[in-house]
Amino acid sequence: MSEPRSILVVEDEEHLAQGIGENLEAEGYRVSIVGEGKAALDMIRRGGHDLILLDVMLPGLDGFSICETARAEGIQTPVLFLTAKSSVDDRVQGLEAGGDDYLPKPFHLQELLARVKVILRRWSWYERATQSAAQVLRFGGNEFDFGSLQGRSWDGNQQPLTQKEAVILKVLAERVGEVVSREELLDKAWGYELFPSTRTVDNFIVRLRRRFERDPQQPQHFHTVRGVGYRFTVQGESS
Amino acid sequence: MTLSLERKQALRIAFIAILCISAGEVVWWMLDQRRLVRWESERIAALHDANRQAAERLLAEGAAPERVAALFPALDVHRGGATVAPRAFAEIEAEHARRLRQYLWEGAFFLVVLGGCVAVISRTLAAEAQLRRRQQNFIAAVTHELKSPIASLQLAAETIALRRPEPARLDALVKRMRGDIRRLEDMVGRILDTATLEAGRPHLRKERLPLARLVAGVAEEFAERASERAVKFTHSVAADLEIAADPAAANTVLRNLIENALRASAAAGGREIRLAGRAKNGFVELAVADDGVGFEPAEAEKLFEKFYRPGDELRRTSKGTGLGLYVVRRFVELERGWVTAASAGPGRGATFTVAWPAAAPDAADAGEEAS
Repeated sequence: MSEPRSILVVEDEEHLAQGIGENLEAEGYRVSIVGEGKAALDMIRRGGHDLILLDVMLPGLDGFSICETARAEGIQTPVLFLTAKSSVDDRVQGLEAGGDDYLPKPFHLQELLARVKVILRRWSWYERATQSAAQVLRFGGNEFDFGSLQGRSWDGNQQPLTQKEAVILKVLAERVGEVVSREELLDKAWGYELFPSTRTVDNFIVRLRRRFERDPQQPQHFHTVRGVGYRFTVQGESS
Repeated sequence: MTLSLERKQALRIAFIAILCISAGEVVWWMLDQRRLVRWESERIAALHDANRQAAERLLAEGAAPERVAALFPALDVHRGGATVAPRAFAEIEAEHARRLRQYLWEGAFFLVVLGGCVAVISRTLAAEAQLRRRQQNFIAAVTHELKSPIASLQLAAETIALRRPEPARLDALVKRMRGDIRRLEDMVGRILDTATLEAGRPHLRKERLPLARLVAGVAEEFAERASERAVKFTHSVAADLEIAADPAAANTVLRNLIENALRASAAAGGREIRLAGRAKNGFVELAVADDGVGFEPAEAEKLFEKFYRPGDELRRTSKGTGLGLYVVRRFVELERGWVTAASAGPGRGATFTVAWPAAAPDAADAGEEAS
């Protein structure tokens, strides 16, 4: 039998943390709980977790900063934000900070468990996909290693990607030359309809262009197909 | 006509800009007047000099000094030549000094007035910005304080539905749910108290209340929560201390103070909350002291302001909404009492002292309506 997946619950509300922890344990996960921001970041740095459930309003250090710091340090453990802050701006901020999913409080237990399962499955898909296929993608003088999530752009700069960015690049790179719809990218990278609009995907494509295109305004590799989605080409071509 | 907050703010900023431009104009006017006075002095000096030269020419042509002196009263004329009389310069200088002083005083007066206006408007702008920030913090805090217990209740209810737990586990979940409901009740109560206070002067009855009984009742209510956090209550309130206050308002005041002390203790691992009463100068004081997070002494007054919460709401060090202590002060002051906060600094505990008017020795005023 395989080792149980380990989940870190970062939540300062004692009752919620206990309730979430007990339910995740009942589903067969191994759970650690921490209620303070700086202590949470220390635990994340020590590693060993397959998923982090992260509250935003925390004593010591807020959830967005924790996620940003972890991502900046190259920690790619998936993060599910679980918070009372539920406006669209908050969700986008969570995503920009490197979060993988966002579940506003109060939430349904079954939905939480389903999302946890989906994130862990998606991460497994990514790991399998990058293990089975060629690990390194080369295009227009850029290269990116899906295993280490490290890349180098045409100008020689290091370009580490977040897990989410890498998943989007992977989905596009698996279907070179084909049009991939925004909905499909959302579905692959997030699992289901999470945001009210698909502009989230657009933001991620903009980020990839900034990293790898010589002129992000005139993309040669990440092409917009108006009204549909995006098309990726290894050879540079004008949109 | 009502203006939106942004437009009001824009108008104020525009007004400040106009005031600053006006101040600049005043300074320019003062400098210009000074320049003008100097220029005038130089012109008059040059005129005197031209007169002197003309007088010397007349003398050289043989004109009688007396006649020349009569033609140029500002000159001292003698046989050898003519010089400008010192009195002529003295008069000019005195006149110019007077005008310069006048411009200086007038300019300074305008500058002070304009500066005062800028200061008043800037303060208003700063106060508005601070209030807006506090309201945003309040909304974030209330969102957190309301949604957290609701999320916890929903989670517990769905856990029961999904897992069908055995009785012992069920008891634990129900206990957790009761705690969440109590927290919601407290929160809603505080919001309603604030709304009542904001709506106008609430109807407060003045009754004779034994402080020891009031303290014991509230302490008992909080006993379970205190013991969960390993916090011990100690109270020393003499049985004969009686206050003249509204029972519900006094209860709210005490509950909010103890709630505040418990939160402060919980956030810093405090262990003890001490309540001590004493009679002083016609008042009955109650000190609520904790060994919790404390605060900067400079913050003591701000703690009672509406929506005030120390620090950034995203990194909240303690739970709360910034209403509890505001409600305390408003209720106590409506009953002609007072409340103060003191702390030696962050991490060094805090003491909140509340004072109500002592109940009159004569029992006849019990039940009288507060004016």
